[in-house]
Amino acid sequence: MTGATSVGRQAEVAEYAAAVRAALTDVPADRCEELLEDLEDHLAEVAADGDAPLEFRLGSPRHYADELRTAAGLPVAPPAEDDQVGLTELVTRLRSWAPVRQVEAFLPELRPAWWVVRAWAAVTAVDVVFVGGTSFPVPTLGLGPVGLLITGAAIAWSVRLGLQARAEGREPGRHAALVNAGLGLLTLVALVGLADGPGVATAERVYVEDAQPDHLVHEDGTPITNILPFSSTGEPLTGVLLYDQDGRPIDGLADVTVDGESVETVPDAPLQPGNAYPQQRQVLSWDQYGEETAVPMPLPSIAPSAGIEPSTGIEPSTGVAPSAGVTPEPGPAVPGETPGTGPGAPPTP
Amino acid sequence: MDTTQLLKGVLDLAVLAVLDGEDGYGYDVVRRLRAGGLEEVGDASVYGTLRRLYAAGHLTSYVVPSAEGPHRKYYGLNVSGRAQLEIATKTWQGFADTMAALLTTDPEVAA
Repeated sequence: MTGATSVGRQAEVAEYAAAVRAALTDVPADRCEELLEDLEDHLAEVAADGDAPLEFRLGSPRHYADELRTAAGLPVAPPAEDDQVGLTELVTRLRSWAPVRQVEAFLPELRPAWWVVRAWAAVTAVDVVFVGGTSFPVPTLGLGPVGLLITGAAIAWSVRLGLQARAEGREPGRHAALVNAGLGLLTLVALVGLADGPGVATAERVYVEDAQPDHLVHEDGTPITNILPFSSTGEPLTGVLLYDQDGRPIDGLADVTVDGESVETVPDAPLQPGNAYPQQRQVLSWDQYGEETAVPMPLPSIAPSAGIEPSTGIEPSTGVAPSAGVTPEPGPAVPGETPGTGPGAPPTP
Repeated sequence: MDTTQLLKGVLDLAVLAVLDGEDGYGYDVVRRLRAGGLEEVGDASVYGTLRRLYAAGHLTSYVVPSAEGPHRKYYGLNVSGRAQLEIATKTWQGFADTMAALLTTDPEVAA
């Protein structure tokens, strides 16, 4: 021995010994005393052998106590202190549990997915909060294709950020953790918004239906259930084929009158193209016995009439009535189509 | 191979053997074991082993006042300790022979 133990070292020994005893509080007192009777003296010998601190030479008191347990044949498991396990300790224990360790090991593999999700969540949350409803799965901010582009750009940017961070080997700092937590919150907002989604989506669909009817209508919304062509002289025409500017056949007569009655093409009418007018239509109604009755819709009289008015009782209003000033082209101007070759019913003379 | 794992099984024998030559106090036993080649032996392991062997009645102990530092508790083998050492030695030698045989015959078996 190279000299007496200094006062400072005595304090160090006492402190270390106390910590070792504290780690062995689950051991019965008499057994513990039998084991640790001269622990302080022993540690003082160790301390006197060098200048290095005891913790450096012997490890932590906790570790020393564990080693002591094994050597002395004490139960290894330290179940004590369970009642005062701190949150940190709990997390540490949880993370040492094998399944948790395995999940933790592959979580980094999921990072790219998170980069996509966080961008999606941010845009969706904006959609939900500021636009008041979102489209699933890709939020459009109510801007249609532009919104899709914005979402795509947000995802690209987010993934780029993630790749950059990974390339630089940066561990996410406190700042990044805060941002990620915020985005996690936005993900929640987005999901809640989606859960409310069906109502929003239905309203949207109704709106679309109103804006784009699937049948012919007037500007005021009155359904067009038939088209009755007349010549400039007031003669009703039949088998007139109608096309739009692109040569697309104009068909799609309304199946419901403005009064809500069902209208259909007479089933046994002579076959003619869907854009040949007028068509033989009939209004369906039901009598008090539930029997279906079909009432043919009046057509202009076939016979040429001298007057402007067709004899059917259907009066083309004066504005609509063909006047001398308006000279319709003799044949249908149909680019790219040859309606004359169609199987249309020939106009009855 | 992890020598600390091997050490756990033979530490009793090693401590008994060290004390058979000459009585010693705790840290003295640690140093003699390390000097003898068991460099990785832990202080707590030796101290715990000494205390257990003592509690089991294999060791005598007596305090020697030290002029330089604390009193030193010396340990030595009693009759029970010597018997224990004898048994443990035989066990170890039998085990070591078995292992040696395994390790030397194994290549021939493979060949």
